[in-house]
Order: sequence, then structure tokens, then C-alpha cells
Amino acid sequence: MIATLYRAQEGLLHRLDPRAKLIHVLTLVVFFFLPLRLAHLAGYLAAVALVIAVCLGPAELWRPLRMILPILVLVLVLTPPFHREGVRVLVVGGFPLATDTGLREAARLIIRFTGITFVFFAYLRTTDPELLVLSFRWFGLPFGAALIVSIAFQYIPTVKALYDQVRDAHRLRQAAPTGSAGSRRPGLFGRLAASIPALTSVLILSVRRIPVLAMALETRGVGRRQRRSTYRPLPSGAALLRSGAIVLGVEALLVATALLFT
Amino acid sequence: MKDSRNGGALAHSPAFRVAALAILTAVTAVFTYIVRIPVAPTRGYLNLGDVAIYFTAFTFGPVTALVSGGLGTALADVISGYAQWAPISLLVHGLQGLVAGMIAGIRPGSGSRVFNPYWLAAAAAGTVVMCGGYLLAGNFMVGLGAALVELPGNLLQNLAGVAGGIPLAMAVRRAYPPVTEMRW
Repeated sequence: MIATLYRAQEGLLHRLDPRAKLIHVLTLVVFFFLPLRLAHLAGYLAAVALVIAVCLGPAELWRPLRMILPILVLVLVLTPPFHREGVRVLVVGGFPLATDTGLREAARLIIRFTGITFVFFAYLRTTDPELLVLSFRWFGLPFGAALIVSIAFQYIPTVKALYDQVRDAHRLRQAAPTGSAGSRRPGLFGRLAASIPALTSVLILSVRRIPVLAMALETRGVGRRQRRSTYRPLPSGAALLRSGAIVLGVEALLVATALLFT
Repeated sequence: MKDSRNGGALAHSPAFRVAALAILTAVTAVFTYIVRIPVAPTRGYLNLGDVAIYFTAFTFGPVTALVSGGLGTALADVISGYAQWAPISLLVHGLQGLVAGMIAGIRPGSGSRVFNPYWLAAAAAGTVVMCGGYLLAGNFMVGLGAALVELPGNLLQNLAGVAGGIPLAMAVRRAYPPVTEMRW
């Protein structure tokens, strides 16, 4: 089984309509790219972090942060040398390693990347992948495209299980060592070459499933004018209106603050 | 449906295309997320997503590589918790598959002809698209400094993708000839 980020629980973010959340995710990502003042962007980041801490628990903030920490360190170290204008803060051997402009740019990038990471994390942590596909369908994703995504999601565990089986089988009956082989550990491309037989088997077994799946889809009416099945629609009405109103309110607040402090 | 066993004329039916795209998307996601080769000097891992993309581009053509390459790597990003990169992966790896598939498709070769010299040019163009795309996107996301640090890793990953994708495309064609009829 492939584990996704989603965790079922009760909370404000979980109760929000997935379509409203999707719109809000896109808006927030755009906001993190706007040329706003640093304090302003930091305020957005703090607000997103606060929502995650309140709705999911403060410990949940560490999860995405831990994954992006190495890249944040890289941004902090490597961005300032590319911006030499401004007041010199750190100079080594006459070369300005950090200026105030460079440090501000590094802070902007760190806030942007952390903010976008938090936004995507909060969305996927609180939205069932099935509802995600249905949301895209509601926004106009064609039936065939939605079907590809949902079947692919279903087949990921199958292909993974296939890979595990084939790899174990190949390990059991590996080729007999010849000459000095075995005395040295193979390099990257040696390891890649060693994995080719197992990957070939996985690909052949996967490709052979295509006609079988195609037949199953044809019997379900895929490709015909009148399909025998369709995606269930997401509920409309009060819940959608409530979520839409909340998201609209938050976005109005974001726009107002952006206009006010720019 | 004329042929139910090996693709054949079925390759042009909408149901076959949906099935092929879905299964190859799953394969690309698994090759990206699960199948990894340790890199000794950095103690990191190299994923084989590019192997799947080049295999698909050389075997199934540009449209399949565009969809399964983009969607497969984006799904892998979503599953592994790096969803912030998913839109970029969707675009960059999709374009990589499209370009590689288009160049490889200039002369696709018949079932008996296993190796296609155009694959090398296709892989080179795919490498440029993938590395250039991530450099450009990385510049906006994390700045030029951090994006440049990622460049050697992306190049190595592409090199591994070519070194794995070409032998795999050849091996699968030899072991399962009906695959040549599944291209569109």
C-alpha cells in the first residue's frame, strides 16, 4: 500500500470544501511570488503556520520543515554571493560574501519556499486524494484525464508489489560470479546495469496488463459516446457556499493587506 | 476490438490509450518514488524516473511520454511529500518526454530493428529540457545558487536515465515484440 500525506481527522481544514481549498492554494502560491515587503511575506508565512498549528497540531509543522531544511540552508548560504549590491555585511579576502540586499533576497526565497511547502502540505494533509480528483473533474478536467489519474493511483501499489516480487525473485537466482567479480563493490552504473534484468521483467509484466485493462475499460463503455459509469459529483449547496465564503473572506483580507502595505 | 492479446489495432482505441497512459504513469511514479540506487560519495539516492520516461518515449511515443512522464513524476512528488515540486515536475518531465519522444519518433524503427540511433539525440535533447527546466524553475523557487547546486544531480540522474532507458527499451522490444505495435 502506498501511503499518501492525507490523514483523516476532524478539523476546520478537513471540513472545508476541496474545491474552495484548491482555489485558495493557488492564490496563496501566487501571493508568495508577489514583490511584497519582506515583513509582509513573513506575516503570510506566520499566518499559514498558525493555521496548520491550530488545525493539525504544532508538531505537524516540523514534518514539512524537516524535509526542506537542507535546501533552506543552501538558499541561505548560496543566495547572498549572487547579490553584491548594497551594504557589505561579510567580506572574505576582498570578496563580498554577504550584503544586506543578498541577505534580504535569501530571506525572501526562504519565506517563499517554506510558505509554498506549508500550503501544499496543509492541502494534501487535509484532502482525501479521491476528492482531489473529483475537484479537478469539477473544474473541467476531461473524463479520460480524470480516469488516467485515478487508475494510475490505483495501480501504483500494484506496480510496486510487482517490483518487490521480481526483485526478490532475481535476488534468489542471481548470476554466478565470474573472475574477480565480487571482490569490488560496483559503481553507480554497475548497480544500474545489475538492476536492468529486474526492471525489464517489471516493465514487460506492466505492459502486458495494458490490453487487459483496455478490454475492461471498453466493457465499461470508455471511448463510447454513452458511458456506463461516470464520476460522482461533489456536493453543491450550503457546504460549498460556506467554504467559498470563508476562502473569499481570507482572500479579500490578503488582497487588502497587500494593497495597504505595498 | 480486433486484437485482445497484444495491443495491435487496439492501440488506436480510446480505452487502450487510457489504459496505457494510466499504467505507464504508475510505472513512472514507482520508478521515481520506490526504485532508487544509492550514490556512494554523497550517501544520497538516484531515482529512476528518467529511466521510465526515456523508455516510454522510445517505446510508446511522445504523447504517452508527455502524459506519463509528467503525471508519474508529479504523483511521486505528491506521495513522497514534496508536493511543492509537483507542478514543476509535471511540466518539466512532461516536456522532457515529449521532446525525447518526438526526436526518437523521426525514425521509430521496426520490430526487428532494436536500437535506434535517434535515441541518443532524443536523450540529449531530453537532458537539456529537464536540466534547463529545473534550473529555470529552481531559480524562481529557491534562487540561482541553490538551483545551480541541483544541476549536477539532475545531469547525473539524466545520464542514468539514458543509460537505463535505452537498454530497457531494447530488452523489452526483444523479449516482448508486441510492444512495438503499441506506439501512437
